[in-house]
Amino acid sequence: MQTQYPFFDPTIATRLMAIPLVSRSAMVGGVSGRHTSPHRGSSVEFAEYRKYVPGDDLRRLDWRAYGRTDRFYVKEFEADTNLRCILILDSSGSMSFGSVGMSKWDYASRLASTLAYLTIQQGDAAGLVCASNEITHRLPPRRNPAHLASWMQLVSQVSPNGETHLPRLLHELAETVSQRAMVIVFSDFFAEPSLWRDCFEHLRFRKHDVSVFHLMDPEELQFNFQRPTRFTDLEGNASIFAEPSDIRERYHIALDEFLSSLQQTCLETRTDYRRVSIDASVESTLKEFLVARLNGTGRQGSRM
Amino acid sequence: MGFLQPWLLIALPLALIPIVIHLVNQWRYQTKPWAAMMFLLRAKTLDRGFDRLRSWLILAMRVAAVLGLILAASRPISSGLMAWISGGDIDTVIVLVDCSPSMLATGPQNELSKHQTSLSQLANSLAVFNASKWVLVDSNSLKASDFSSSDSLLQSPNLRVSDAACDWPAMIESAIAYLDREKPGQAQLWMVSDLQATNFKVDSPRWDDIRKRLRDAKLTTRWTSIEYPEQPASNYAIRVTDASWVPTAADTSSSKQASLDLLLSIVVLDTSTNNALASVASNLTASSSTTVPVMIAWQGNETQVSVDILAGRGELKDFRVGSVSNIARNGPDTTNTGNLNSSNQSWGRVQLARDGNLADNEDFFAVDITPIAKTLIVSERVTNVFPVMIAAQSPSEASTQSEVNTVTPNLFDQRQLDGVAFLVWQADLPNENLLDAIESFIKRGGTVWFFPPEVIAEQIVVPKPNTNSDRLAISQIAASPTSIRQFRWDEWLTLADPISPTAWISDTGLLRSTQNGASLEMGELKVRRLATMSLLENGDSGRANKLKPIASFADGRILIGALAVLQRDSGLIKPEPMTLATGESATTTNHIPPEASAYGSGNGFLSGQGEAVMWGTFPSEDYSNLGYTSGVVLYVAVQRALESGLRSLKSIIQDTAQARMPSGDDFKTTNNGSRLPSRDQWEPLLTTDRFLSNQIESHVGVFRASSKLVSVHRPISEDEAKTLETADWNRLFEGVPIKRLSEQTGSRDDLQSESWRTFMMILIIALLVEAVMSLPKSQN
Repeated sequence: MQTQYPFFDPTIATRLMAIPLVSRSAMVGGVSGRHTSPHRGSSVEFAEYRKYVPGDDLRRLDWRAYGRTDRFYVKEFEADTNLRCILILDSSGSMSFGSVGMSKWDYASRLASTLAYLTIQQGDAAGLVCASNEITHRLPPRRNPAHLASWMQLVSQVSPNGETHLPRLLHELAETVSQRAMVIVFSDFFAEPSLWRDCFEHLRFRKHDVSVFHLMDPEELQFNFQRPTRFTDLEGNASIFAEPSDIRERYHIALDEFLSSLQQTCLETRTDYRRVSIDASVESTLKEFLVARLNGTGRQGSRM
Repeated sequence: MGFLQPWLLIALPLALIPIVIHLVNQWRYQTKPWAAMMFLLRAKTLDRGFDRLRSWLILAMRVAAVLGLILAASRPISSGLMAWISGGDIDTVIVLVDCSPSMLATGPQNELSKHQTSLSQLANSLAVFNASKWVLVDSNSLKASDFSSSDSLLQSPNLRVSDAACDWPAMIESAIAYLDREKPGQAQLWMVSDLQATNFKVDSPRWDDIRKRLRDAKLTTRWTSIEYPEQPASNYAIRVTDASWVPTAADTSSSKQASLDLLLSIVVLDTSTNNALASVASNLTASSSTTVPVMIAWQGNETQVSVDILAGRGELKDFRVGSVSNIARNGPDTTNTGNLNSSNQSWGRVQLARDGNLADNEDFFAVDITPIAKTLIVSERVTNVFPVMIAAQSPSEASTQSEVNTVTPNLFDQRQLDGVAFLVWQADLPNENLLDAIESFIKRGGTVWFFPPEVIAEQIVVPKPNTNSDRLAISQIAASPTSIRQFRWDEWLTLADPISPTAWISDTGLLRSTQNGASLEMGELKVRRLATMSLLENGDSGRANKLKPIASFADGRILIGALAVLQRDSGLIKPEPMTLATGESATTTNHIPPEASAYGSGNGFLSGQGEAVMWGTFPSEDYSNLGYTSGVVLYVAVQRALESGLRSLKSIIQDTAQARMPSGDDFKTTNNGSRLPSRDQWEPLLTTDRFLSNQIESHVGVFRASSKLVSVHRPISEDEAKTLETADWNRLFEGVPIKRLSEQTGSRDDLQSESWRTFMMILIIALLVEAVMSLPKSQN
């Protein structure tokens, strides 16, 4: 099956449709859906008994309880609602790096487009935010299937560029997204880990279900260069000349410190953390993500 | 910094190869767009000090390795390295070279001599120094000579091996004097020797001063001693101990037309067995002998004779080389008094086959008719010295004719001293005019025995006419040039009990022990009357001209005293320190070098000086038993005095090669005390192939000097193969930092060959450090 969007593989999406994308927390949607709502509703899922207060619909009185206790109780049920999934793609220059035939941006596009497809297919709304030094592209969550085309179209127009100001932009999004939503961030997170802690805490404070896909290129993880190399910054004009053999050890120390710190930050902020090497299969990456969430808790893990 | 192959230093820029590779590597870098810059920046901030240095250290080790390789290949010299380290350049190079005959010895297994080896190694070693002054002190001249370059120094004719012994104290003194005079900034001093022990004169008192001055000079001077102590595997040294004419036995009846036989005495020493261990081995195998062929060249004929070597020594005694009939037109003038007809003179050469040292394979002889052993006795009464007259009439050598004349003091005329070898004076001391004549007689080499007068009168001291007698007290008269004038007989002592001398000089002089080491039986001598003697002291100079006892009693009184002996330059010297023999236990001394005993002592080739001897008694019955029971002592002493006096009358002068005399001398004094025309006036008659006309005194051979022949021999000490002991070296150069390089004779290696090992070690260490630092760190 061919589409006009190279980053979207319908075959993978079709195979993953059997696994629903569920939220780890209650969502506030506009319509009925498959996700738990913080409000009581008319679903078949019993929630609780509540004392009758004047004004309640008499049809919701539980007469059997009245018969047993001689008191009026109202029987309430869980409300099922849909969710709004906001897919945030880091479109800074660093996302254009890739050594395995695709860049981190490409990989992130594939993950995000597949998730957007799955979200809309299960009746939830999918939105899009592309951010580098600012929010360059933004598409509000919609559950209309036609919205998917706009979503894809918008992603196809984005090319990674500019510096990363994702932490600041995440704070803005936390403030601007008024209702609870599932927020999935695709980025390499090349910023100080302490900045991410504030972002994730802010999003959690706004009742969002936050998940992150930490995308890393194998070269970034291994740093197995042999020749003297001048490294030029993809997000600026800076460059560093280095003898890889001289700094390899210290590079790995710095990398390990960053990865462990970021993972610890996500754990402490109950952020669903997925570290992904972009040479891994998109399908398996998403499958693990979806299954983990289906199990109810999600997990902080990596796929490298 | 000196290098033996400096042209290899052209490759020094190759040491930049690691740096160039590093730069090229840096230049050929790849450019990589990179996202994770924050980790690189972080890695840079984590750059620790050692890690920052590590790459530079690796680069430095690589450069050091290449440098070490190039420098090692350039063969640096260690001393140069030390100079480099100490930061000083060599300003002056002083080379002290032993050019004695022993340096012509080869090593045990090669053909190159020590001298050739040393010159070859010096040529390679000195070429690396960029010194402004080159100084040579050789054992031939003992002078410090300047040269413009090392090549000109090494081509100096002074470096040719001569036959003179090396005087290391004098050479070092000459070098120190040069250093004191020129005061160079940094001097490099090289000593080249074969460590021959006799050359170092370890007992010389000069070493104390030398040592002190060496210590003072050590801050600016680096000393290196290049030594070739190896001895040849086989070497013989030959020496003529006597050469004389004797009438042919069949013609003794007709002396005027007699033919003469040339008798030659030769000693051959196995110097390769002359060291201690070899001597012991030789003694153990004394029963086995070796025959050495000796070629005698004389009057165009060559005679070969075999000498048996037993226990390292072989001797040919009075070998009849040949005879000359009608040697002179009128035959030998047996009545002459020493002015021999020159046609009686002859000379020749003895030679050994080629062996480990060519320098000691030759010796020369000159021969002339022995003059009559003429004795003049001036006596108040002949009976007082009658035993002396009898002894003088009986010469020990059958070939020597003797003649004894007696005269009373009042009839004595100085003209009677012509041709006299031995003068006996038994009377009051001679007057001033006669003293002058007797002084001249002594200076000529004659021997004078003074006996006291029968009655000792009050002494009247008469100063020399040219002295200011008005202002001279008796005690000041001692300043006169000869000590005879200071001598006086004190009084006659009549001893109740005859006494015997308890101490006498046994190693030299009249009373020396015999050749087989037996001491004269002085203990048997009984003296009944003794004339005491004394010497006026020199009050002006404070130097006491003491009477040297030859034999003395237990109470210190002198029986026989030596008044004066001739000195080479000024005519008088103080008698050499000698060791007294006490009783029968004679002790050997160093007065005559011990090695001289290998050739025998007492012959005319080794010693003999004019002297005045004072006897404190008469050899008559009322005075002593000298003429009777101790007549042997008297006879031996008379013969020795006669022999000593006779030596000066001979037309043949025996001498040893020595370092060059200072120029400007009109006369040269031989070891025998004979004064000869300076070397410029010598005419070489027969010499070695190594002869240089400007080093005439340093070479053996036969030379004509005026009417006399000078037969110059190799110093006896040069035949002593013993090398300087380490303990002696340490004592001589105590506190003086001298680097010793013991080289193999014949080695073509350079003296500083060990220095490249240092740089190879640097190379290896640099490579090891580089390898360790380049190892990847463990992956945990």
